[in-house]
Formats: sequence, structure tokens, C-alpha cells
Amino acid sequence: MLLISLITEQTFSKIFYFIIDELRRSPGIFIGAFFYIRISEISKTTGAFVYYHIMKEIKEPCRKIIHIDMDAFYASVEQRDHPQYRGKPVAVGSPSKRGVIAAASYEAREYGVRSAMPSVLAIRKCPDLIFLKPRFHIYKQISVQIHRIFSEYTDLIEPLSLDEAFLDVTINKKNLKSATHIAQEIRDKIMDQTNLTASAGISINKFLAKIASDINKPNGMYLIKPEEVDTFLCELPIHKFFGVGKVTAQKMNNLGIYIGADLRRISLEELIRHFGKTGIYYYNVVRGQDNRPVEPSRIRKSIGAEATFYNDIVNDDILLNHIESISEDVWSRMLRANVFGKTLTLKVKYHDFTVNTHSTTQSNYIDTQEELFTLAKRLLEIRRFPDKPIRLLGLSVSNLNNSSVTKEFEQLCLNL
Amino acid sequence: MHFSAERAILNENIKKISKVVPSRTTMPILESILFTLEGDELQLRATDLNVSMKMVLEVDGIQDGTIAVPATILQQIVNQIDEDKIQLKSEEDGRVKIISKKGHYDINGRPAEEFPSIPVILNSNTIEINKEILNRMIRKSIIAVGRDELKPALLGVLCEVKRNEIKFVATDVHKFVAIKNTNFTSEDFEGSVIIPERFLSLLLGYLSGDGSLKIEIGENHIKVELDNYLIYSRLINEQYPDYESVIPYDNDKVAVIDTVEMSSTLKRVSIFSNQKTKQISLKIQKDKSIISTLSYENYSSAEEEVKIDYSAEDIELGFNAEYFIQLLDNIDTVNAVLKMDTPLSPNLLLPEEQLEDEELLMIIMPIRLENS
Repeated sequence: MLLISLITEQTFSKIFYFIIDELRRSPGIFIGAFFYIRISEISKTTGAFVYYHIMKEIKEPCRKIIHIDMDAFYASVEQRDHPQYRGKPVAVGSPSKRGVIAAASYEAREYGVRSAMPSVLAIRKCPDLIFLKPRFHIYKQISVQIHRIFSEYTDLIEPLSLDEAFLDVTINKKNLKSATHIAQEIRDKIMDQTNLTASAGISINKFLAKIASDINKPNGMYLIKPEEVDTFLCELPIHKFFGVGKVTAQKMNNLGIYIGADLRRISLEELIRHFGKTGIYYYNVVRGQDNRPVEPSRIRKSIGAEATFYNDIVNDDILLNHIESISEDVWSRMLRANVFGKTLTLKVKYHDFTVNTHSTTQSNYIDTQEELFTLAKRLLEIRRFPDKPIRLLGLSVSNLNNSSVTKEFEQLCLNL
Repeated sequence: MHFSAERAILNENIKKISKVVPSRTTMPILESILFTLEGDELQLRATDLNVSMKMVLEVDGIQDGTIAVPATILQQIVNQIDEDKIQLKSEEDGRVKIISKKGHYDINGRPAEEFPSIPVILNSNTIEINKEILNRMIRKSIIAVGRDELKPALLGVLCEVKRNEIKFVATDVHKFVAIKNTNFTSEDFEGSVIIPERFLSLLLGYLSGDGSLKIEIGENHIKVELDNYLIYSRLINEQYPDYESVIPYDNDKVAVIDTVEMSSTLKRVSIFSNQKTKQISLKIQKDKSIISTLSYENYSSAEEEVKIDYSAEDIELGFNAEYFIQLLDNIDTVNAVLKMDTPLSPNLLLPEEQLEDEELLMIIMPIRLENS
């Protein structure tokens, strides 16, 4: 112990590389070494140094991540179960004035119809669009089936929604070396058991796997090999980078950044100057560095949005406008995450920073935008201090339907 | 203000009054207990603006005065001091000193003027009720009180007072409880008020022993006086929905079930149901019932058969097991009577025999099963 704290970090690094090398040959030594490092009271700097090298030397190049993404999931399920809609432009969602598309079939996509698009716009793009009511309990059951297939290979599964998940197959239950092989098997099994197609992306981290699954979509897969990562990233158009939306893409274009290679030329300092903290993310990601682990237990508990006002507000009409736009925001987030909830909570922060919350729980899931807005409005009406100026309003939906797969039957109410 | 008091007595009373102190509040002053000393009489007050409590204690007064003291810290230190006597002293700069033989502990008090005043009870009438009866009525009704802030009337228990009967009604629209007692006389009040659930559950702590209790009912408030305690509450000024019209008196499919057996069956089976909805199916056939559930989350299912007394046509109902258990546990008789109509209509649940002077009536709403 004493010896370790006395030797310089340079010496330590040599020992460390030796351990890493050994580890590659035999994982048992690694566990021993790691334990040894844990129990030794080495200095914090040395600890960080060790951690850095574990991440750099072991985790990054060795990981095998698969991203599985069902093709036009809701719409495909509907086409599977209703043969009369096959080959036709189909959208799952409500055609109502304020409705939003939850999913569009590939036929509908040819017309430019996309998920999360307002229905009114979708009808304009494709007048023959067929609207179908979502059947979430069916999608859920299929999602469980797919999840069961994944778990034949690994327990490191991170579902992003009903139809999308990351799998870490670096170490897998079937001891298969090739992640591509695993991805192919999974896709075959999904086809056999559900009669639906899925696309897959395989690479060394979540960021690259997700990009890869999009390349040969639908019903295809793509592997970005560790040695190809550099070239791939350099040639990748900037808007394809995860987290780069329209606005950021424009801003990057203005800086002369069009592809990954352009982004690489910009220093970390400069990126931070232009994009703040996110600059660090861009800097790392374009170098293929994405250490985020595949996290199996990421179940969302609530979904919400809030707005702080520049000037405190008392006027009811203005508050109503704000609550409407916040509820629109929450609604679109619910659609994107594919979840509905039973409980709606309004948060009111008054000008003196006192905070009140009011909530209502429905016996059924709040599954239309109208209902969400109406409830939000009524919660705002019953707030404790109607005359106090308001600084912030927030809405959140909880009691979400993302944890249960069993069809939830409707609880009936007394007719009071 | 400066006084010396028996630590144990002060401790016990601070604990009691702290139950009124709100845990999360928008007004910091409400996190305190108001101390007022006059001679040897110490008055303590706490409020969450809806429910308020006042108590009077005998202490050794040294100097009169009044100050609000943060409840949580005070409760902790008075609980921890291991001496018989302690002193409380407020300084001119608003500091409060808690003094024991070993040392002193200082915190910031708040000016008494900031503390909300005691509600004025207008046009009040008094009713008197046996503690045991009140205890029973509160316990059985509060389990059905609603939680939805958009239905404010249902956040409390409806209390209907007639000359010779008192009735409590509560519902969250999924379950409903009405309990009536006729061993009761009201001299000068007839009418109905909605009492907040929090007040009633607080009151439950003071209903042990025999004897009766006086309740003062005013226009906007209700007040209970117990020895040296006073508990006040704001009433819920809302119109309670007309519940009489939804009671399904005509349900004619009658099953007689063993209360405890059914309750324990439901407790076992619901372990395997969807943990959020607790949904179970109840198939009722001639002289038997089959309780089953299925959950895809844990790939679990369960089924049990319970003997019942039933001769009408077969029926299958869905229920939230938790609601059903709560209502069954309200029944004191060996058997309970379940009166049904269709799988989608309200169900009456009654004890097989009513107690003398009492009438208990409950409703449970079903859940819609896939095939219904």
C-alpha cells in the first residue's frame, strides 16, 4: 500500500499497462488487480488516473453495442393485423384538428408524413392518409415479446421506448464472439415470432450504434467496425450527429462545419465558446468517445415541462395562454416517449418564491391533448392564491403506463 | 417569555401539536409552534391554515410573553434532553434559548404577530356524540375519501346530522361508504357539513376511552374541545353530490361470502396482479367463486376458489383488489353480502346483519374486463 503511494504516477502507469495487458489475456487477474487497487488507500489523483485508463483501455475499444429499432412500429403492427391497409399510407393517431401523428407507415413517409407531425399538416401532404386508433396494449405485448428475445442474449438491455433498445453484448449469455451474428439472430427471431421487421446498428458505443441502425433501415442492419469509426465519423454529415437539431446544424454550417472532419478541426475551447457545455459532448462524440453505459433500469417516472416568466403574471388570460403552450409541450414529449399518465400535477411558483402544487388523478390514462389541457386549466383555476403574481408554471404527468404491459382495464366510476 | 417546565410533559405535548404543523408549506411561519405565557399558563398553537390546534399547559412562569418557535428543531431537542426540567426563554433580539442543566441551545424565533389568528366560529351549534361511536364512524368512512383536488367536495367526509341520527358519507367515486348511527340525539342542530379528512384522522388520536365529545359546528369551521386541547378545522364549502340516487338498492344477484376468507384470498391473489391496478377477476357461479389474476410484467398468475352462497345466474366481474379488501375489512360480521346487477354496474356490499343502532352500506365499482 505504502509502496504504491510512494511510487510516481509514471511508474504506476507502466505497472498499470502491464495489468491491462494481462487482463486482455485473462480477466481473473483484472478482478484481483481491481480489488487490490480498491482496498489500497491510493491518492485521489492516482484513483482518477486508474479510472481514466480503465475507461480508455478497456471499456471503449472492447464494447459491443447493438441498437435495435422496430420499423415504423405502430403502423407496421396495424398493417400486420389489418391486411386491407398493407401497401397503403397509414398513420396511427387522431385526425382531429389538434391531433398529432404517433407513427406513419413507410407508404405514408413517401409523402413526407412523419411521426410527431400535426395531423392537419399530414393530411395536407397526403390527402388519402388512413388514420388508425392506437392499440397500445397490443404494442406493449409485442414489446415484451421482443424484450424476451433480447434477454436470451444479455441482461444489459436499455429500452428507449416500446420499439427501441440498446443491448450491450460484449459479454453475452451464448458466448458468441460476433455482435453482427447476434443482431442477425435477434432480427430473425423477431420476424419469426411477431411477423414484424426490425433494423439493427452495431458498433462500439450507443451513439454509433444508434446512427448505424438508421443506415440500412427498414429491415436491415449496419456494422461500424472499431477501425472504421474514424473514417465514418469524419464523413458523417453534421445533422446526423445525435443532439444536433436544425438550429445547431445551421450554427455549425455558419462556422464552416458540414461534416465530422470539419468538426474535428475545431478546438475544444472554441466549441465551448460557441456551444457551452454541449461543446464538450460534440468534441468527444466526433472522436468516437461515448462512455455512456447501457443502463437496464431506466424507467421514466414522470414527464413534464415548465416555464419561468420574464415578468411575474397575474392576468388570467395570459396565464391561460402559457398553460396551453406548456401543455402542448408536455403532450409532444408524451408522444415522443410513447407514454401516457393518469396523474397531472400543476406547479405554481408565486412571485415570492412560494411553491404550491395541485394534482388530479383520472381513473384512465390522459390520452388526448384536449383532456390534458382541460385538466391543466382546471388545476390552474383552483390554485391557492388566485391574486398573487406568478413567476413559474409547470405541468407534469405521472403514474405512467410505461411499466405495465398487462392490459389495464378501465376502472368504472360512480355516476355522481 | 420565560418559563420552566417538566420536560416529559412538554415533550409529549409538543409531539402532539407537531402533527398539525405542515411538512411542506408556502408560509414559513406555519413551521413554528406559537408559545404564549400568561402567569403559569402556557398556551401552544399550531396551524396549517385548514386545521389548527390549541393546548394549555401548567408551567412555572417567570416572565410573560409570546413567540413562535420552529417546531421540528424544538421537538428534536426537547426529546433528546435527559433531564426532568427545562426552561424556555425568549430574548429581545428574537432568539429563543432552550436551557437545561448541561447547557443551552439557541434558535431564531419568529414574531408572534406573523402567526395566523384563531378562526372565529360564526353561528355555531353544538352536538354531542359518544367517542366510541365517532371513532367507529370515522375509521370506516375515511378509507373512501377522495384525493382528487378537482373534486373538492369529495376530499372530506359528509356529516349529516338529524334529530335522532348521524350519518357519515365518503366516496372517491370508485368506492363508497355510508355509515349511520341512531343512538344519537341532536338538541339544536340539523344539517350537513363536509369535514376535511385530515381533521378526522387527527381526531382519531383523541377518541380513546368512554364518554362523549362536544363538537361545535359553525358556518365555516368545526371545533372539538378535549380536556386541555382545542382542535379546529375549516369546513369544505362545497355542494356534496347527490349520492342517494346512485345507491343500487335494486341489485338482485345476491352472494353471501365469508368476509375474512374472501379478504385473505384477495390479499394472496393480488400479489400476482398488475401492481398498479391490482386488477382481479371474480367469477361467481352457483355456490362458488373463482378469483383469478394475470400480470405480464412478472409473467405471473394466480387463481383460488372460495365457497359462497349464491343461486342466481353466473356473472363475472373485475375489481381493484385493494378497494375490495379495504371495504371487506370494514365489515365486522362473519359474512358479507354482495349484491350485483351487471358486470358494469355498481355493487352493494353490506354486513350480513347490521349492528344495533347502526347501518353500514358500501358500494364498490367494478373494472371493465376485456370481454365485458
